Parts: sequence; structure tokens; C-alpha cells
Amino acid sequence: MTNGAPYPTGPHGLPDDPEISDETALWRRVFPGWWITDENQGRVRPTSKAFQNYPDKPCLSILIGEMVTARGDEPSTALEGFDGYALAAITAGLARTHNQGVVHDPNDEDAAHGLVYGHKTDSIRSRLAKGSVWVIPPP
Amino acid sequence: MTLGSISSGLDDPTMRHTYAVKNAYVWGYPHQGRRSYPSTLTGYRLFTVPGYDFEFKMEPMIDLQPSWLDSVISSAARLLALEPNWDSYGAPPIDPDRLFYGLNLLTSLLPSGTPAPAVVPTNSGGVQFEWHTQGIDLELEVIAVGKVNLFYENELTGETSERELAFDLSDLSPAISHLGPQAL
Amino acid sequence: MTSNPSKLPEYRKPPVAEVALSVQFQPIPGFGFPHMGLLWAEFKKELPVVQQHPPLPRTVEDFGVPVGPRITLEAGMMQGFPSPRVWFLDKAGAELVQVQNDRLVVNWRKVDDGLQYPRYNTVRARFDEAIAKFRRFLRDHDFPDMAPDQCEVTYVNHCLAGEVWSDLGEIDRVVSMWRGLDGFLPNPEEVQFAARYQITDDQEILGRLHVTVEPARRISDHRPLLVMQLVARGAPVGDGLEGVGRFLDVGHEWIVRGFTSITTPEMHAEWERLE
Repeated sequence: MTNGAPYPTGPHGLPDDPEISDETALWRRVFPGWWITDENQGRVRPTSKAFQNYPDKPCLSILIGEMVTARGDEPSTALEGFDGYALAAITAGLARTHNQGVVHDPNDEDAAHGLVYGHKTDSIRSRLAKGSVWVIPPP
Repeated sequence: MTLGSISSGLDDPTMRHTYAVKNAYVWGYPHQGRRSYPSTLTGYRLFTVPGYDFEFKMEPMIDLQPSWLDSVISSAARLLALEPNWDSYGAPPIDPDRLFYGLNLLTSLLPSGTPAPAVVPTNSGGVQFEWHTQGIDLELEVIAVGKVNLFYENELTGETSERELAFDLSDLSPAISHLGPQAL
Repeated sequence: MTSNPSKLPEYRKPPVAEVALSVQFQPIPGFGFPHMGLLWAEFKKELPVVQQHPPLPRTVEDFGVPVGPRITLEAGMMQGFPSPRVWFLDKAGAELVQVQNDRLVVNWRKVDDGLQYPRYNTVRARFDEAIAKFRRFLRDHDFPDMAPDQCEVTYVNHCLAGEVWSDLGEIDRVVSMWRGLDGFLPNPEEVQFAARYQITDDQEILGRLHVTVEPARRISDHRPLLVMQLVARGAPVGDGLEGVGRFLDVGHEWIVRGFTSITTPEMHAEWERLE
């Protein structure tokens, strides 16, 4: 919840903040064992497992990219302390297309922290992974 | 499960529960010189991965090793070495039972010549094998020993399938058969 | 032969050396060494001796996958400690309960020649009692209940050389599946084999019966013996602990009938099969 208040709810009935536009880039740290070669797409991209919910919560963590850059930070700050990781982005619109909701969830780690809420089937995770782009590609 | 008072040359019988029955092969036990593998096409083979202190054994080696094996063994070693919070979001280390269960599904199902899968860890401590080739997306996630999630999409035929298989894994072979040099 | 065909074969002197009834369940998060110590209090009166052992790996019977070569870890250190396994034993070491965070096993062992096999119903009653104590413990300490996923019945039989056979090559006198050869090869020095069968009920696959026969010698007098181990393993037949009990009963039946099938009438007579 933001400041103790419940999240706004979107049309799917999930937490979803309409103030976050569909074009907003949502950044996701990608662990080094989580990029794979997709011969069908002709590129290296995150595995669908990079977009899996927490085991005990129906959401996954992201950073709201424009909030990071708006405060004057480079994307590389999202990987500080995470040597060898990469940074991928999906749009809030892509998430919503697949029955997800997006909320801002500032925490002690980062004021730009957010959550993508919603049950993620294999095919949804696959779509998110295939629709992602690199902000900081694998080293 | 507990016997130790009889000089039978037996290992702890429970460990044999994870070994498949070897059909017509009769295997001895490591004691009393009963195990001997001078042939290169019988017995077992050991695999090590540079940079890791793991040693894997595969048996029976009645055949040349499958083409995908080295890549998968390397990945397995990397996964076993993962420390807690490896994903930066609090993931636990990889469960060896699930990893080896998955590896042994591959040795049972994947003919030599099939493209090697990517082997990725999951944030619940499991493992996923995935292929993205020939217009096919195939992902097998080992959720638990005996339980596998199968995701299959074929962009050429439009076929798609997403299901959880528990104990009855007979749908895995047909899914995997779409891969490999025979496909397309 | 028995007059009632549905009655299981019975022997006055069965060569049973060990029986184990086991249930495997989903790992109970957070259940570890400290809780094993607290749990022991429930068993301490009858089982006052405690031992620690490495954990048993998770094992399931699955179907629809062909047998292939196995990959195992030969050496290496992984992250984290394996879940512990403890044994609670009686003073004689004949009765024990084994506990780890995803398994509970009740064993009976013939630790000396004077001990008589107490029969399946007695071991089964001990198993039910151990399960009840364990579940009560889980409830009292705010753990989730067990979610069983595999059950296992194990019988280990020691067939000692005696009147019917005297050396380890004479397996055809003990095991009915072994046939003599055509005369070129002599009697083998020893034979061992393994077989597995699907356990079915009206076409439905319930699990597997694994049979192994291996040669051995008794430490005390070097007398030859054949170790015949039969393991029935499969998922519970139905929900809950009732499903576990049903599989254990089916597994026991398959073991007893299977054991009778694979052994010779001469050995049945030595074990004094009841008519």
C-alpha cells in the first residue's frame, strides 16, 4: 500500500494505478542465469521465469523507469550491487493487456519501486518476456 | 531401509529407490569387486565442470553420451552453486531433488541430436528447461519431484498447450518429439 | 491352496527380516531439528533411543516416461544443509519411527532370531498411531497438516540356505522365475536380479512393485542367504490419510501375492504355508 492507503483498483479488479500510463517503462532486474537465446526471435532475451510472481504474493517487483530518470539517476543505478545482472523493461500497457495491474509501491530500497499484480500463467509470462526490451543488455 | 547388520555387500537399500531398473543388466555393488567397467560403452561416466567442485555420474552408459549432455551438466553445476537471494528478490537455493529429477527426465526423453535446452532456476527453488527454436516454444518446469508444468506453443501450427502433469507424464514425449533434427 | 481365494497367502514361518511402512508428503516449511527434539517427547516412552541419519531423497513413481540412464551427484557441496532425518527406536532396536520434514516411516526389524514377525496388521496399527501423534504435533505447533503424495510398503526377506538349497547358484530352487540353462554353462556362482511391475486395479495404474533378489552371507556364521526385497510404491488411493491407508493395504497385498508367485513351492513348504 502507498502511505498506508489501499492501492487503486483497475478494471481487472486488481491493484492498478491509472496514473501510470500504458507507455510507462517498468524495469526488471535480470539475474545472469535468466537470459536465453530465442532462435525464433533471433535474439537473447529474458526467460519467462524472469517475470514470475513472488512465491507467496500475487505480484512481482519492478522499478518505474521514468521515476528513476526523473530524479536524475541513470538506469545503471538500478543494478548497483548486482554485478553481472541486466535490466529489462516491459511497458505497463503490455502488462495490462495480459490481465495485470501496475502500482507504485515505494519502499526502503527505492522510491521508484512498483509492483505488477496478477496471476501469471506460463503464456502470460512468455508474452511479457518476449515483449521485453533491454535497458541494460547482458554483459 | 535400515539394515546394516548383515554382511550382504549392500548399499543402503533406500538409495536404490532413485535408480531405474536396468532391464536386462544386472549391476553389482561397490563392494567386493563386483563393479568393473572396462568397456567404454557400459558402466558409468563421471562429469566435472571447470570452476565447480561438483562431479556428476551418469549410468548406465550403454551408448555414446547424448549431444546435449555437456551443456546441461554445466548448467546444473551453476544452479547447484547458487546462493540464497540469487535473483535479488529473495529466491532460495535450488532444490537438488527437483534438479536431478528434471535431469533424469531429460535422459529418459531427449534423444541425442535434440537441441540442448536452456536450464534456468526458478524463484521457488525449482528448475525449468526451455527451448525456443524451429517456431516452437517449449518450457518444462519441475515444480516438485513427480510434478511438471508443460508449456508448448507452435507459431507455425498455432498449437498451444499449458498444463500441469503429476505422476502421469506421458504427454512429455509427444511435446519433446516436435524438437530435434527430425522436426520440420 | 487356500480354500478362500481372496484370502492372502499366509506362512507360519515367513522369512521376513524387516517391514517398513512409509508416507512421503510435501515438505513442511520450517520443520527441522529443534522440532524433531520436541516431537521425540511424543514417542520417548516406547522409543527412548534416538539416532540421526542423512535424509532420504524424495522418490515418486511416475508413468509414461521410458527408463533411461540416471544422472546423480557423485561429489560436491551445495548451498544449505539437507533436512535431517531422525530415528526413534525401542531399546532392542526392533521397532522404530523415522521422521524428516517430508517423510514418516515406521519399521519393524528382526534384530535377533527369537523375534517373531508381528504381522502386517500390528505394524500398520503402529503406523497409524505414529501418524496420529505426528499430526497432533503439527497442529499443536502451528504447522500445516501433512499433504501426502507417495506411500511405500517395503518387505525385506532373508531366505537362509538350508534344506531346500545350499549354495548361492541354486537360485532356481528358491525363485520360480529362474529357469535352468541348456547344459553348457555350469551353475552360476551367484545370481542377482531386479524386476518391476505396475500395480493396477481394474486397469487403473496405482503404483509399482519393485522386486530385487541379491546374494549375501550372514556375518555370524557366513551362511549363504538370498535377500528378497519387495517395495510397493505409489500415490495415495484417494484423499487424505484414508488414501494413504488404502495404498498401504494394496501394496501389502501385492507384496504378499507377488512374493508367493516368485518363490517355489519347496520354499513355501519350508516357510510352512498355511492351507
